[in-house]
Amino acid sequence: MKLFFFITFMNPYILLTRSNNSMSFKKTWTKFSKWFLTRPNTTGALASLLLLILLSVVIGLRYRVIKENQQHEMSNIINVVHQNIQQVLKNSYTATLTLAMTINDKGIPENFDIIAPQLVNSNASIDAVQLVPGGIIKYVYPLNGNESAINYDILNTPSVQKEARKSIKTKLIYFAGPLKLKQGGIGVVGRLPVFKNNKFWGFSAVIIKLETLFKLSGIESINNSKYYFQFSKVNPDTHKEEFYLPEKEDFSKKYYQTITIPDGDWKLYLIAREKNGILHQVTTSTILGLLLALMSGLWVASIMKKPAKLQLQIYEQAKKILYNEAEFKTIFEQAPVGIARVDAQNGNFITVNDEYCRILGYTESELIQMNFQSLTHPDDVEDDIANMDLLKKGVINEFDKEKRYIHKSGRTVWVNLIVSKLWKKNETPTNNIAIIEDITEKKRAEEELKQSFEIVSEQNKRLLNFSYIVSHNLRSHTSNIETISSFLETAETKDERDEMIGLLKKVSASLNETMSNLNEVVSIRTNINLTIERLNLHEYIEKAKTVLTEQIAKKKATIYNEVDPTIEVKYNTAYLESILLNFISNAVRYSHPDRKPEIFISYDSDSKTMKIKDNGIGIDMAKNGDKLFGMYKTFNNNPDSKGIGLFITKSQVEAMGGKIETESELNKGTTFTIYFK
Amino acid sequence: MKNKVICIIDDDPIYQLLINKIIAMSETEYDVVSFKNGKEALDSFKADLEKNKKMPEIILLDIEMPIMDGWDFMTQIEKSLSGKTDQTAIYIVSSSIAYEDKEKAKTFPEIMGYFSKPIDSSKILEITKHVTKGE
Repeated sequence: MKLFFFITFMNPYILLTRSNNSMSFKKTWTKFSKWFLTRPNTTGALASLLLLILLSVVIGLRYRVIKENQQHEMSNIINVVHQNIQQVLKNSYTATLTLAMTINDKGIPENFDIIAPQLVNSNASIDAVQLVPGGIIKYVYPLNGNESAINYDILNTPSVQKEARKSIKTKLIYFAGPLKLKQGGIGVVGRLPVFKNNKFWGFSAVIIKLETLFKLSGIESINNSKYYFQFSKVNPDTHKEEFYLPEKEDFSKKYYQTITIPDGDWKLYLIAREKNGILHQVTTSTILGLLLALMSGLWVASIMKKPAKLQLQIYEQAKKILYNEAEFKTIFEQAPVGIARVDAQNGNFITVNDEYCRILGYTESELIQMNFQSLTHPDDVEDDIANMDLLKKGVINEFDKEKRYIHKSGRTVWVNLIVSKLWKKNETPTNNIAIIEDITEKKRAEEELKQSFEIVSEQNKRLLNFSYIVSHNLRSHTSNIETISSFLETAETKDERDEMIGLLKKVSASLNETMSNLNEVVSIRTNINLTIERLNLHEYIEKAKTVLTEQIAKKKATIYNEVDPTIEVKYNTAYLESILLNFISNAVRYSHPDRKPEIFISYDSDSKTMKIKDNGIGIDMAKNGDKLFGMYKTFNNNPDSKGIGLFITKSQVEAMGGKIETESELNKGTTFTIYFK
Repeated sequence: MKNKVICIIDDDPIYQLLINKIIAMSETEYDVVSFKNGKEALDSFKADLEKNKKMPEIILLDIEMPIMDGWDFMTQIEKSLSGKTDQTAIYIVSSSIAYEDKEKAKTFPEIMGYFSKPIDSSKILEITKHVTKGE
């Protein structure tokens, strides 16, 4: 029997599949992780993407920080320059105001020659100072190099009059230009309109060369690798913005900051040198990030490939196991033998299959409430428990035996049982597997076969005995006839011949007797359809006694008929008569010479037996027991015995389905027990 | 009176009569003594030995007999007359032709041979010659 089969179906996997609520989460999670574990490339790509998004956020943040830093830096720089320029303009304003103070009530400047040098020398930003009464330059310091400016009529020169008039109108200092100076070079001219008695007098002016202004503003001192300045003014005539610093190319696409200086309607720009300067700074990080994301994606994919392979194998195996389990379950459930898992400690049934239920007649739910001891035939329980104990102690690994169960209906069921343990050596005994096969039918057939074998062999023995007897008895006659006939052939006298013929007649007579005896035996053997009647045993014994009256009287025998007069037996009339006559006459005939024969005949209704007990000479059972019912095998020292009687009696009893038992002791007596069917 | 004895043990009176005739016809130097069964023969031998009479030279023994059959006789001979049958040749003469009987005869060393009935004078002569030669 393939036991392993049935062992495997109980593997712990089954228990795992019986999930509860907490397990269902686990199941979802397992499903989820399975999805990833089995797709290393996709997972790698996803990991890569995730990292990329993360890095983009970081780089974006960094970009903003850098940009803010830049803006901050630029705004600092431009403010410094703006302040410097304001300083220069303020100084210029102070200078023009000081200069304007020199004009007396009559409109004549006083001490110009003293104050102007002081102003120019003490202010690095001021290249020259002028007094322009009525719009015509009259006083200039230093005169040297500025001679050409003298008598220059500002208010009537189209190129400059617009700006000059603007300051008169606002009554505030206004810086014109940058413009080409009469005395050469480019500069700005700050003109302060001077009013005397609410009447325009002229201008007090300072000239600042553009290069001086730029120098003092600090424009040139900044690191120009990152930024550069531009300085512009919208031309009042052309209304076009004109630029005064190098690198005049269009920067509108570049990042810049600007400040407007209203004193001269100037615009100061600070321009970032590189258009995508900040981006360049994050490019490296971006590329590195991309590389990192890509590599980590590849790395994740590569390290996951092996587990994925293993995972796939696991799922394959799990699938196989599930399939096998289903297969084994089918085998278990539909096996043509009964299979049960039994608790090794107490013999309780744990699982049983359909056939097990069928054999014992109980339902599965009934059986799992029971143990094998309560179902086992009382005569087999002890041996079963002893075997289970040996199994538990590890002395044996399995045992098999034929045993009996009690079916639910109460009948006995024969099974062939195999029990194997389901635990390994040195483990705590858990369960046993029991396999049973219903052999009740087989057992019954076996019993029948055994019985019929016994019958056949008994019949065979009898037949052999019979043929032996036949041959022996017939041969003894034929050999005599043969001898006599040879004598007849050689007989010389009539007397001799007559003697032989006389002998031949004797042989013929005894042959005839033998033949009739044999015929009687054969007729018993062939008589199948016997008439069976209900016969009163007591009456038949009395009848036999009557038949044997003479013989009984001769031996002075007493026959005690102890059979209840109501007893009736189902028997063939002729056979019952023959049997009774034979046994009684036998008992009378072989009486002991020292005592009067006493014969007791009794009947036991329970065992359906008749006992015929005598106090005769007895039989040496050890010596002659086997010859007792042999034909012509006589054994008593009695000249009457022919031996055929008991042989026929036995045949008749057996023909009626019964048997004869003999108890005897030499010189004490014999008891024959006749079994009625 | 011839002093050699051939002993017939058989329950069949017709056979007894016939064998006597055959032996007489064979003109041997043997006298015939008959017994109906083993027990009678055994009792007679025992009585003879007590009177210091010798055992018969030849015994022709039947198997199937009432009271004491041939085999029982042989067993009794071995048991109670052991060593006293050295001068006696025992032959089985039986109507049985069964193989089992022939084989059983071989298990007794005292049995010299087995003859199936009928027996005639030639067989008697064969036996007597063989016994004489043996002496």
